[in-house]
Amino acid sequence: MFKVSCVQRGIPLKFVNLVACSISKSYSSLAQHSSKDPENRISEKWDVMSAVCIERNPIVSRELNEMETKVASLLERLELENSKKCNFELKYQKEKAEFDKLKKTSTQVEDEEATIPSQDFIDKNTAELNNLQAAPRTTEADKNKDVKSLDRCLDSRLLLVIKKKLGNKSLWHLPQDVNREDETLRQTAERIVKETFGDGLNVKLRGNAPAGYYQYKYKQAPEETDQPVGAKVFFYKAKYLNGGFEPKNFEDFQWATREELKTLLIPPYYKDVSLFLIDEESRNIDS
Amino acid sequence: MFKLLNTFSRLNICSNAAPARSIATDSSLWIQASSVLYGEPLKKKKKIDPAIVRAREDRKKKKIERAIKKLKRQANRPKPVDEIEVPYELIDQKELRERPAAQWSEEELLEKHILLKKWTLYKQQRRLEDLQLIDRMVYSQQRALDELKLASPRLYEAAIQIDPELLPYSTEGPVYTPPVKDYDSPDGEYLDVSKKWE
Repeated sequence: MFKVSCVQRGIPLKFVNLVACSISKSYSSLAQHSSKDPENRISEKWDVMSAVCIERNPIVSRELNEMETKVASLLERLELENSKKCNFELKYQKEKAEFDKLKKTSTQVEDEEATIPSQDFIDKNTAELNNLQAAPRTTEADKNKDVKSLDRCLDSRLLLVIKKKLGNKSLWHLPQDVNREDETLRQTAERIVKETFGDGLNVKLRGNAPAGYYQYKYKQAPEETDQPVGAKVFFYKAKYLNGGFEPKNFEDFQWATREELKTLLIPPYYKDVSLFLIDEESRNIDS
Repeated sequence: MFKLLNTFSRLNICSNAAPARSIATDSSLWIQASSVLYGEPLKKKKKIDPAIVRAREDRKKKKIERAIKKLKRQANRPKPVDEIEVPYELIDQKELRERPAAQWSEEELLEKHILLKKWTLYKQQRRLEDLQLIDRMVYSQQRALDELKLASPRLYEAAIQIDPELLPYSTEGPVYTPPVKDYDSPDGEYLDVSKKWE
């Protein structure tokens, strides 16, 4: 499946083999899910659920790592060397030469009065730049370790997870609900956002198709055969736009970074959720 | 002043003969403040020689035709792109604008080469990670769709529909420093300097 999809997208085959190998290695265990015998499926009844994965995109860019900093400074140097002098530089050069000449010939000129106009321009702009107060990249929420604030970890992606009772245990998970007879999965996902977080939170769902899948069995064994034995959860990705919400319909919530997800979610759930999440770019790589 | 008084006094004398008459502007005396309308007979239309009229029309026609011809001639001529053409001024000043030649020591050159080699490896690794990431996500979605097809064909049919709202897509950021809260941006002047081509 991977090979075909990659070739269609025009990615060189050399890479595809590498990619396919690595994926089949790490996700072979998951693929077994879909190879269950179909007869068993039909006899059992499962709940079909939607879940919404609301993500806040990074607001500030990440810091460059060591390798990137080195290359950036090298490229800057090369670029300067290959460039030609601009109009302002020429003007500055000319005025400086005139100024020096004037200084040499006439000793009567007072130093304080005579200045180079372009130098004044540079000084003025430098002063303006130094006066500019840029907003800090780390915020109050980072200092206070406020995991509920959207203002935290500006350089990384945040995922909205809630803590709520599922069965008899309260677990961290993505907001989910059972699909009703008359709605599509996407409509269920939209309803979940409205019902869980109210009208204040604006998100944009990314497409009609679910991005991921997770299934689990309910703890209590069904007494009758027509009761559902478990849930099939279909994840919909959504982009956080604006607004906020009152924590009402759940015990707790958190805007979690990728690292925090690992500890918050139970391992099998995390495994399936992380499949469709974009990785944070690695910050510290040994060259 | 005296003259006016005189008239008034004479009026007074008159009023002895015809009593109870005084100056007033109310309607009983029919002094009106509205504008007066005058009429004038209509002007007779000047007769122009038909030959002159024809000549005039011809001139108009020719003018338009010439404009059309000019437009047609220029139809296939692309407008000049200033950015591509190097201004003569720059060509003349080429030597003036030259920077002093770069000084690279042997060690620096070696370092540069090693760094660039490492950089290509690094970028290759990142690219590979990106490809793996994309494939992992595609796999996850395909798996979800496969499961959905088995669970409910109706929901599957709805899920594979194209979402027309996804395109056009626009997004902002990320930037190096976050926006300053409640920043009052100074007003500037807007000057449209783009050239018009006809």
